[in-house]
Amino acid sequence: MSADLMTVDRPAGMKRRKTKLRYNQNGIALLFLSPWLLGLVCLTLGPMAASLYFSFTDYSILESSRWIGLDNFTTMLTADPLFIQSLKVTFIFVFVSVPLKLMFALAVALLLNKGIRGLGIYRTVYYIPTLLGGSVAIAMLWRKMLGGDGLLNQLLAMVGIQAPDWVSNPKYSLYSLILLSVWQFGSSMIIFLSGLKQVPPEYYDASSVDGAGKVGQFLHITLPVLSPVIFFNVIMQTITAFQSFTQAFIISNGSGGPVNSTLMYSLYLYKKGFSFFQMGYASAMAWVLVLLIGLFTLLLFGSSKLWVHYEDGGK
Amino acid sequence: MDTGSASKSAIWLKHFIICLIAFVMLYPVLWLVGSSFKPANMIFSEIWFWPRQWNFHNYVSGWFGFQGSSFSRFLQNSALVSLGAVLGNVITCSMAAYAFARLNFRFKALGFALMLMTIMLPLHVTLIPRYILFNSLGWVNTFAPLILPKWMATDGFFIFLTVQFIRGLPKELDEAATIDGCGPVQIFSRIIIPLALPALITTMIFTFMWTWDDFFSQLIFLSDIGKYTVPLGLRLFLDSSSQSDWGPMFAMSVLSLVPCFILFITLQKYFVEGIATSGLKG
Amino acid sequence: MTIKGTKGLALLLSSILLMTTAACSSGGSNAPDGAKASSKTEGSAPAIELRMTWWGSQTRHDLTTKMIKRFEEKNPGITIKPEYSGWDGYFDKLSTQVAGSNAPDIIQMDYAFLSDYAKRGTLLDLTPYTQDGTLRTEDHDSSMLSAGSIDGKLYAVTLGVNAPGVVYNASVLQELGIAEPQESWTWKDFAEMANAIAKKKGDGYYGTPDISGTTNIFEVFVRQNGSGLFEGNKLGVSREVIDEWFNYWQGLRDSGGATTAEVTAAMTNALETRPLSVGQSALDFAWSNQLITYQNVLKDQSQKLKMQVIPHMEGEQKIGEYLKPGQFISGNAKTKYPKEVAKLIDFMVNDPEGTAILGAERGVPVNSAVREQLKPSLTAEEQLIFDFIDVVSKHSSDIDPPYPQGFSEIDKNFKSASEQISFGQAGIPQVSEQFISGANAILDKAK
Repeated sequence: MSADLMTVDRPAGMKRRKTKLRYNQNGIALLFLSPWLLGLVCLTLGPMAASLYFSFTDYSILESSRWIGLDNFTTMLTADPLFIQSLKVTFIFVFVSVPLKLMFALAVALLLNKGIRGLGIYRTVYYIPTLLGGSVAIAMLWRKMLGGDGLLNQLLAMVGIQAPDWVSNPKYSLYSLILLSVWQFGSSMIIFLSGLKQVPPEYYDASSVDGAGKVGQFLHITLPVLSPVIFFNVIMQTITAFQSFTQAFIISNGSGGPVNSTLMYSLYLYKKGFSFFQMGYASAMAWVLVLLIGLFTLLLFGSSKLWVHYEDGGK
Repeated sequence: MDTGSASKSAIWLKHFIICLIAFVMLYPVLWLVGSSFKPANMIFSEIWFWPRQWNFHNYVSGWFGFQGSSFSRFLQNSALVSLGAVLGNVITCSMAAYAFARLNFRFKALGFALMLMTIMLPLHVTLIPRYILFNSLGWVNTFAPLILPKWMATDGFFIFLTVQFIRGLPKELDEAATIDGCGPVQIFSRIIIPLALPALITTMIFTFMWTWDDFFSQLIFLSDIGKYTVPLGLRLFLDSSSQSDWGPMFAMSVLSLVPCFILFITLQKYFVEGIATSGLKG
Repeated sequence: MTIKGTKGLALLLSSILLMTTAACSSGGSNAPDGAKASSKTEGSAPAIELRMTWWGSQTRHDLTTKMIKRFEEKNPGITIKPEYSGWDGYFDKLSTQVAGSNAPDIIQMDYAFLSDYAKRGTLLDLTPYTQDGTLRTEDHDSSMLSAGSIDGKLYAVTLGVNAPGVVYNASVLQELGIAEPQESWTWKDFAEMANAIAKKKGDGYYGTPDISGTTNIFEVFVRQNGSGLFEGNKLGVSREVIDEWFNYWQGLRDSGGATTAEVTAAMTNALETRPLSVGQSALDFAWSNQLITYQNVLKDQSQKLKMQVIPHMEGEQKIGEYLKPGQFISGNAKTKYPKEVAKLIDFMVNDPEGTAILGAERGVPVNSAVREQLKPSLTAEEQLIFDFIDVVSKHSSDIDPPYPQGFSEIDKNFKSASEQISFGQAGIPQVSEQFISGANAILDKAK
């Protein structure tokens, strides 16, 4: 369906000529990639290799390390209940916050992409929470809003509902963290908005000639053209969510509490490395995380052939 | 675009919904701004954001509260670091992205996978090797460890972002340009850059914000108070082991949001006015 | 908007040029650390630069930099580069610097981290300098010296003496007609008082915050039972004592004397947010030097705070209360100028001018002569603290040896354990069991 619309719309004589550009461009590519390659070799690969090495040692930061083979990995899987707890917390966080945040961001982006008066103001307003980022003020702010006698509970009390402390009750604390992450949906929204700019208006014109409804337009034009950007957002939000650290750190005062209910994987990793002087163990955790994220990314890339539409016609 | 067909009440409803969500979302921020005008003991006991009396004391003592240097020093340092980072990221990430999106070369898949892997590794475990590296170069306590990596496209996030954008641009444009005798460098600078402008603007905004906000690497790499940046300056107000100056901290937090805010307002226009592909397509 | 082709190319080339120069320089300079020293000036008048780091509030930064200036005036040829910050991230940065062999020469140290750093050979052994008279320790409390020593070597000098105690709102007690606590009070008295306060004040007001997860106060309780929290590299506390402690607090929570699980979990370390400060409790546990801050952040400024010792245990084995170093000052084992480091430390804790500038901001000075010298110039709150320390030094037992490596992880687990109980996630016996086996595993590993 969508493919039909696209080809109909393409100006005549501009059919794809893949074969023409199929020669190698090693030299020019090297030129464009040179800063990145330099950074990779000089700044990135070294530290990555070092951390991989540390993952097989008992490195404590403060003194030199000793090779201990797979000890860190076996401890992690067999004798560390907090490791399992942090995995659990992180998985819930990823699978709840990422879809919510992206749907919210896409909905608002679509709403704001239409010609509404005062658009610039709205866009800015919706972005302001994201500007706060990981500011230290957030911790106080969030408690004031969702704490035991916070704003939300005072409003609820007016209608006679007695609510728990959403931030410091271990049953809900993770969800208040998820809410915080969804609240800061601005970055995804911006990426969606700039993606929406890529949808050429004549696609819509052509479709309205065809008599497609609004829903049809969204499904057959907006979504396909936006799919590379959606794909990007899904991948990046998943990776960032897996690594999520700052908000949990600030709100729980660095503890991951109460009762480890907000002990995100990266927070635990950080504590192991810097507070408990087990950088070797932390490095091992980091590489387990890389494997985990890598697995999810591979799955997403695999699925992308089914739903991501590139204007350059794939590779 | 389709306002003509919709009824007036529908438009009002739309505005009302948007405004309502906006107010709910914005309330915490309003509270923050309001609190920066309250005396310290009111900050913790009040939930209503509007200060009963306006008090500029927090701003004054926050700004001049450091002997020797005022908060303007931190703002200047942060501006320098952030602008350096923005420039580096925009230039080098878009270059790398162009290669990954449009050029054919050996080891492309491997390179792309490596690039993605650099995003996946948590910062905390590479920090120490990086510190040792920069220390041996004599770069610790300078801005170099914060700026130079951005000039080597180490932020895979932005490469990936721009790749996805460039791949969303019709390849016919490149092909047409090739027929006109343009090489990859001209295609990059004349066609890709202008068309991927929304992605570049996004890169600018995000890089600026994230650098402006970043506490951990700035803490590790900067030691001299004269080189402190805004996030480090803000933490100077807080000492959980004794007394914290919450009022000035809130005031300076609000103040340090202003540059990000202005930058966003200035740049967000380009999401609307970003060059429509249609003009260049024919 | 479009970048011209040539311009783009120029930009590209120049950035590549920049990159290559950076890369070249990265290859060459791998000079060993020592070689960077200012070899030129070494000849006649050696210019010595020492780096010094500490955490604290703005007041501390001001006083300490002032002290440094005075030191530099009195010791020409030595300059001190201050590197200060708040508590957040202080130890992250320090450990990174140690890893990079780039740690400052003079380091403010915390009791909880002393073993972690000293046992790994990162701190300077100050013993030789106490023997040659550079760093005078004759007037220091002996228990403070042993608190800074590991395996017979002095690694850290106490900057301020602290003691744990109970802060109480004297005005509220008076208003409620409850007598102020006496030096001899017991845990039973404490519970009765907390319950009475809660009952008389009504809903939303507590006697005390639930501090059952605070290791430092638990330690006092353990000492009253006759053992130490740790015995060498093993957990010293018995299962029964842990159970008893958690049961005691469970009782206080049930009767309304202590804060509920949610309120406790919402408390942060920031004193501004404690129930005592915001007017939700009349008691709290604190370090003596925190009394001033508490008074400053108290919601109702007309009220007066006072301090009493930690409650005793009926039939206790020994007095649990002890004097504790508030902060330490240490040297870096790798410093090139150990003698000058010792000199500065001496200036901070013994010199009449240096100590006069620093005052009692870091706690009561460790040097008894300095203490006497400061007394006339104290504020009312400082006077309270000095008196309190006087009381404690007469009725206390010596502090236990520094915590073993792995303490910070055990400390965190203890807090978690107390939360598990108060939120009703598990029973006390089960939690204690888990805590003990977890702590022993950590300690075994740290050996």
